[in-house]
Amino acid sequence: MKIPIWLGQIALLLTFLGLWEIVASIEIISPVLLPRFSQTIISISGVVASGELNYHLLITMEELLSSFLIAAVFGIGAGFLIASTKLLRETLEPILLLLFAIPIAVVYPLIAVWFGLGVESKILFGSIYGFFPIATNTIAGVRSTNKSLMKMSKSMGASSTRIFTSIIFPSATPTLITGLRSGLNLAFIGIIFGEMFASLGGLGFLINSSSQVLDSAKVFGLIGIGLLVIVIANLAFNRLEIRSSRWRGEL
Amino acid sequence: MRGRTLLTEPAIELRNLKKSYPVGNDGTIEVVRDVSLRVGARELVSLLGPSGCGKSTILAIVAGLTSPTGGEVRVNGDRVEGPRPTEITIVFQEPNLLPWRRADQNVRYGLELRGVDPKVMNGLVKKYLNLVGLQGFEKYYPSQLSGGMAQRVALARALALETSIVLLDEPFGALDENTRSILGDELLRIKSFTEKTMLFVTHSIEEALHLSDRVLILSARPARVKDDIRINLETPRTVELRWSPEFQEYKVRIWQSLKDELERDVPEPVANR
Ligand SMILES: Nc1ncnc2c1ncn2[C@@H]1O[C@H](COP(=O)(O)OP(=O)(O)OP(=O)(O)O)[C@@H](O)[C@H]1O
Ligand SMILES: [Mg+2]
Repeated sequence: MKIPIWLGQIALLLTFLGLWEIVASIEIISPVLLPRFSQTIISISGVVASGELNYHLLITMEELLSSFLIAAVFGIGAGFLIASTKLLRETLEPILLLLFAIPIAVVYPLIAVWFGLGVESKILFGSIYGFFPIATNTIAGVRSTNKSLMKMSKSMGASSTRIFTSIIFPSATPTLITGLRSGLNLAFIGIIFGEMFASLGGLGFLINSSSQVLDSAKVFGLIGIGLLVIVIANLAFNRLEIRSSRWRGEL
Repeated sequence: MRGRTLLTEPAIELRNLKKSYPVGNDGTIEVVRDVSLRVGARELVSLLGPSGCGKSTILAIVAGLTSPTGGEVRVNGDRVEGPRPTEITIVFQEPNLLPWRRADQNVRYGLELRGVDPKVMNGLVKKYLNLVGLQGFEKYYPSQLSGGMAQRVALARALALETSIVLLDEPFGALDENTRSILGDELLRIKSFTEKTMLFVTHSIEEALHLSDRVLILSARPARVKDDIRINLETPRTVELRWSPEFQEYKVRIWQSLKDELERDVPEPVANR
């Protein structure tokens, strides 16, 4: 009998948490640096019960969702536009890839100055982070379109609009979804960074303020919450990716 | 011939067709040089020529997908300036199926583009999938079909449009000998009750002889029509016919004509000074 993969993954996770608990309880490492897993859980339950987590998590989720939507709309739009003509693609794609390579964190202080400490600066920052992978993957997706399919479609009388909707868009979809996934992950990183650096609320803010008072158990717990958010989002993308490329595999 | 064309237009007519492609920054490659030919209504004409001589290029021009650099193409008397999906369909060298659509949805594709009523569409899809022997495989994705089955879906997709002219670019080229001859017979059967005009590209002499009313031999690139051979073999052509003396005579004749072209050195692409 084959052991289901998820069972193995859960076993791995439990082993990791168990080791953590054991190593931390021997106290080879100071509890300030490495609190026990159980302490972390107790600490985070307190944060949940007091409503503190709820308040900050909501801010982060609002920022994440807004950034992701903005990045997706502009990234996909720009991607298809740039990919549509050779001239645009050849001039703009290298620039886009270059910008993507720059650590965008360097502009955050400026954004914080311009847009303040509220959610706006985080949304903008997250959107910029998310925009690049979405745009570049959209372009790559369009490029992966088989030219012969377009010729076939044209021979059957398809207009350019029809060629786009029936050939180019579906061809680009799997790559585009990969881009959306990276975009979401990067937007999250950007937002947490922004919150830690200069803000009045959010998961990153909470982590930062807890670490300043050396409340390690709380910091670890909050990092865990952050991981959970991004894992759930990625699981959703997994499903989407499987759905959108069902045609590649078996029945 | 000349007298008859006054009464009935040829279905396809190429007049002094020329085609060069640009290569690199300032070069060109001459692919088709002065090809003239006619295909009468309900005729099946094969184009036979060495690989790379310009057969696919000629078909793409007739289909209105590529414009010639000189000369003209007429279809049912009209000058071809773009695709004419109600008159011509083309079956390409590769199946070109949409990988995210199941077999039946692929056959639907051309009909959807045409805006056919969904009920009629379902009937046509079923009819042509059955015709190419794919009943039971409607729900398969292209990735789940064999090469021969994929090519059949492509054939069904083209035939479902029920155009009077069908261009076929080595549609069975990638298949084994047996599947190929079965599909060839299938094609003849379909042709016998649909009154279609077909221009068929192949590199198999036997296939050309088995299917065609006329065989045109093309020269090595740049393509010219070197020979125009009418095949007066009995119809329907049985497999046994292949061992008959007449068949062998045609075969030798075509082979001799083709051999020189297979051996000829083709010119390199030239730079425009
Ligand atoms: N878009 C293009 N740009 C430049 N050269 C091209 C282009 N399309 C075809 N050619 C050239 O034209 C020549 C003829 O190509 P074509 O595909 O028409 O040959 P073919 O007779 O169909 O060959 P095969 O039997 O191998 O399919 C080849 O030398 C090819 O390199
Ligand atoms: Mg070819």
